[in-house]
Amino acid sequence: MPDRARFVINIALLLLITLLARPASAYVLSWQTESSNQSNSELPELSAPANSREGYFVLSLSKSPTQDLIVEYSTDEEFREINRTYAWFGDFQDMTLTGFSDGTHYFRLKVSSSEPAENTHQETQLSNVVQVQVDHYALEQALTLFSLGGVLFAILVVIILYQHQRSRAHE
Amino acid sequence: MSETADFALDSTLGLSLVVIFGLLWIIFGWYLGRANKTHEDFALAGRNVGFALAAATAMATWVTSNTTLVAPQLTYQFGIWGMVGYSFAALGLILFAPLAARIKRLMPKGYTSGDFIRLRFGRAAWWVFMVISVVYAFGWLVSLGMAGGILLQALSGLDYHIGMTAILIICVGYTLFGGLRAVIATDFIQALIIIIGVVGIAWYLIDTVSLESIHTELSENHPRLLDLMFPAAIMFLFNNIFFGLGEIFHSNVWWSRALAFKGKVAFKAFLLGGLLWLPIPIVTGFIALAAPQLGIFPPSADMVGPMVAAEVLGKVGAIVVFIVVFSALASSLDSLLAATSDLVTRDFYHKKLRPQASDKQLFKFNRYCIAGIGLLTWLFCLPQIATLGALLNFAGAFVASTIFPIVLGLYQNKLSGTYAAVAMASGTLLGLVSYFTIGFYVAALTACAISAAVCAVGVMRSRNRFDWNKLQESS
Repeated sequence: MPDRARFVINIALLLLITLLARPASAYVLSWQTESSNQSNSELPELSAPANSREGYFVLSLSKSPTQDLIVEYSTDEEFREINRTYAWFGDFQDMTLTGFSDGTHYFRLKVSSSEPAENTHQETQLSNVVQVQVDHYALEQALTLFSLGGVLFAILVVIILYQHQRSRAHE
Repeated sequence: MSETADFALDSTLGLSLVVIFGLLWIIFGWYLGRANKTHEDFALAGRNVGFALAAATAMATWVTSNTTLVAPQLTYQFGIWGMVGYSFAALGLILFAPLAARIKRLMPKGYTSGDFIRLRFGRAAWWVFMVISVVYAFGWLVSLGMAGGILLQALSGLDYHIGMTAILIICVGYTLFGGLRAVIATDFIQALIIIIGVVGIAWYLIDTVSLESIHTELSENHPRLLDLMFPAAIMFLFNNIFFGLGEIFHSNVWWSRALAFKGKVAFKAFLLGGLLWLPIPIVTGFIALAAPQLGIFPPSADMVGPMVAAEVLGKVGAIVVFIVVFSALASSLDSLLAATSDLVTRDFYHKKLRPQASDKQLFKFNRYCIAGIGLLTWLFCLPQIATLGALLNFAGAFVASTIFPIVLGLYQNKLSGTYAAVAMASGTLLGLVSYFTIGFYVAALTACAISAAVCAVGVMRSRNRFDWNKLQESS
């Protein structure tokens, strides 16, 4: 390829990447600049899959968050005891949670309490409650598949090793 | 856990890293590509790759979004089994070692895996195989392009489309200039970066966040991740092994390497590459187990690895993570671009469309092909349709159905083309059924089991014997 073509490709690459860039400031979630005009905005609606067979699932927001959010988790529908809280990351609309045992799990959103004292009234702002029913596969079913896989793998390894030895001996 | 979760890098720094690395790789690719005089030089690096480069390219190509992003994802989803199970994908490289020696012996002048299927099993099996190869190649290419976007988004908040576009442009650029020679040489450097980087990150993580605190957090709040009797994870284990075996056994990425390696290097190179690869998913997967302890709950499970590393190591760590993952993605993306374009050039263009094409025309078409595949991949990557793990495991239903036809095709002269075609087609179809009815963690296992059963019937019922000399086709 001629030198000129290489030069043009390199410049085009630089330009394309640079032009497509979003400014860094677009991603900074800063309560100092946003809380004044957004403190009264409604919380996004929370949604989640009704069931999970693996113990992991994704919680989703109806829109990108404009303030720092926390997800509250409870095994009690009334949230009399909060088992755990999760800080929502950046301006993403999803959060993946994992490692849950069988049972019904409840989640809701609230505004983060890390802001100054005068803003703490926001803590009372709560979203809708979503529930996820975790029901893991039966262990017998899993072990049956595991055994099938083990037998199939053993057959494959024996075929390869046996044929490899045979082919070397033949040489 | 109430503080704002900010990104480890600002988007300008993220972009600068992309541009610097991109230009370095492209210039390096152009420099190496000057030695390519014929199409064989470009596609198979002159069939003269020595042991050190061969082992490095085997290992580095297999370290990809699979190991740097999907291994943490599966650990985050399946816990201990996700991490250990993922490392078993090394068996794919290890078991390919004897196959590579056999391939080199049977087809010393061969070009692609498609060549073998066409000559060994005939047209029907070849068509099924090509559909599987193309679906897999695009599944992997799209997952790699997506991974580039996800990586930059997780570390710097930069729009997904920018990272995805950048990595595709860079990899297409240096593969276009340098061919397989550039791919293997960059793989060698990328392998060194990956090993040093991954070990450094894990070392620092264990030093900063103690194993005891990670264990306590998981036991109390995410008990299933430590449970060795986790049903979905148990189902996933062999599925992942068969997926890895199917990926390597059928893909022209690995066949082109087996054919490009010098003399009897292939066996030792794949064996060593597999052994070097084995601990890497354990290390990258372990990183994900620290996520709950650090209060990191990612938007998408495939972002957990870079997010944890960036959180623990700060800005410098984020740069290290970026370089390591970017190297891992590039080392696979370039290989796949080169191997897929070889497959299209050799199996479609040369064998079907223009049998009289000159070496110069093949060389030119191969380059157009790389650019075209890059563009198509970019279009598929635009909508971020699935998580990386789900996308990859969808392809598992396809590739696992090729394991037994390929192994038996290489060693056993009784398996006919008809049975090989039926084995691959029925295995794929039922694998897809299980993917949609049960989950992604059983698709490859089902496909492999069905395909093996059909092959067993084929070998038992066969009356014909294949003549191995038919594989010696003049180019």
